[in-house]
Amino acid sequence: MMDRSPRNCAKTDKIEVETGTDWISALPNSLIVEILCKIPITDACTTTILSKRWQNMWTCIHDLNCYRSKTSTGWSAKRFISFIDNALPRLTSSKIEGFTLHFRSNIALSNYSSKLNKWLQIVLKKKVENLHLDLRLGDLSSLIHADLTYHWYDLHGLDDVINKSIVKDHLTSVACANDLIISSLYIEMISMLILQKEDVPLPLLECKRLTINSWTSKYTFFGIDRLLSSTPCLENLTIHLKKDSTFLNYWCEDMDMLEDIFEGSLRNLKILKVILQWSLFINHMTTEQTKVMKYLLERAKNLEKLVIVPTNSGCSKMIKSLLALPIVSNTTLLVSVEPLADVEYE
Amino acid sequence: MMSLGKLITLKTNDNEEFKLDKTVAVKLEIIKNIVQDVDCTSNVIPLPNIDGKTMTKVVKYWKKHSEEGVTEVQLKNFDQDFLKMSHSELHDVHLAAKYLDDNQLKEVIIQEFLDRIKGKPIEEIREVFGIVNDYTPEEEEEVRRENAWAFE
Repeated sequence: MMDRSPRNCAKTDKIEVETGTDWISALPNSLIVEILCKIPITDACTTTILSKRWQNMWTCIHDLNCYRSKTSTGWSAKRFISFIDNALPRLTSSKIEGFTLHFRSNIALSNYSSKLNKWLQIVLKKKVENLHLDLRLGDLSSLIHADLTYHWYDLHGLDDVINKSIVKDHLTSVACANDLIISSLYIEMISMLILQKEDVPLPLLECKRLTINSWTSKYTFFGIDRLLSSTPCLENLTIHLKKDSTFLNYWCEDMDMLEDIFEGSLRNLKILKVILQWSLFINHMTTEQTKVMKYLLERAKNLEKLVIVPTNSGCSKMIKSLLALPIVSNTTLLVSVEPLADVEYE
Repeated sequence: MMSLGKLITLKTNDNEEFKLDKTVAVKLEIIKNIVQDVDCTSNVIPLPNIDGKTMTKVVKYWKKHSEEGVTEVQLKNFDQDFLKMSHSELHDVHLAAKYLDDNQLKEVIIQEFLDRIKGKPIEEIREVFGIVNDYTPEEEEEVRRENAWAFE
């Protein structure tokens, strides 16, 4: 809604204008806010200038459509970022129903990631229900290290954080990274893509170090397996053994345990680090975790070192079960008792 | 609870009666609820918040949208025609849809309001919608200054 652009008189003629009455004053605020929720935030915000009644109306919106609208298409990426950064803290609504951010610009995410973080904090604080982020990571061909972790995802259990096209985009972007950290969210998404028979933009041919920080469940098996099959050069793997406490685990409880699901060759794998996540109720290895570990140790024929890192002294049962699994004979086994002192078992 | 007969009568606040086929009425949760809540023995449902003029429009919309074999294109054309009403009429229909808890109709109306506002310069919105600018030039200047990040 630019202020001084040529009037489009022909268009307004079509609408029956009721002259002399401030008819919109008759509309309840709730309806006006409802209308403002439907338009891009860049447009909603400029209505502040209409009249005193409208001054703070836009700050009550509970559905945020953040993308460059018809009137803001010409905006530079910098201006758009600055706009969103100014607008979001001004919102007064205690609950945000939706936050849609479409921003496919040439500016790489890393240049405004701290701002994005702030925006997400704001909407998460307002208990956002629907989050749609469509962001371009940019050209990452020089990438060496990539951490695809959403910390707040784990904290908030948000299921609708990002959609699959973004996951695909991100995986494509990190294709040439040689050190990768991949979290549950991505593993789940890859599993979903596989189950829905969609393309997964893998392999990761350059990847030599990989950290899988994911739940281990029947569902995430698919993603973990695909990831390991797609990293033929993998030399160093860190895996967190976390029990899946999400709904997905319950959902796939009846799923048949696929015996031959794991197909990846791990012939280059030299160092395997297993981080044991202890929790109050689960002090043993689950069937799923045992299966993953058994597979890893079976396939890694050239494994040189197995490092077990318990996060808590309560992990002893898990360590015992791990040690009971067949391990290639010439592997050095390290169990780290304290974070600082590594005790060696041969 | 009264049984749903073949016809249901809706009575507006100006005593206009609308006879609706069961198939049309049942589409609406609210009618079902009213039927259950109001323990009436007749098949007449009072609508104290809606006048006949508005209800005529609402019923017209319902009937078209529950017609059998109606195509998407026909519905689109119908909606386009249907929405050719003044702002205040549109508002009345929105209130009725709200009262009747008809989300589809509510959405359609909001979308229409939206289309009438969308992409219009501020001056034109004021003009078309008869919004009186009660800012003094100084105040307006200040609002602009405060929101310079939005106006640039």
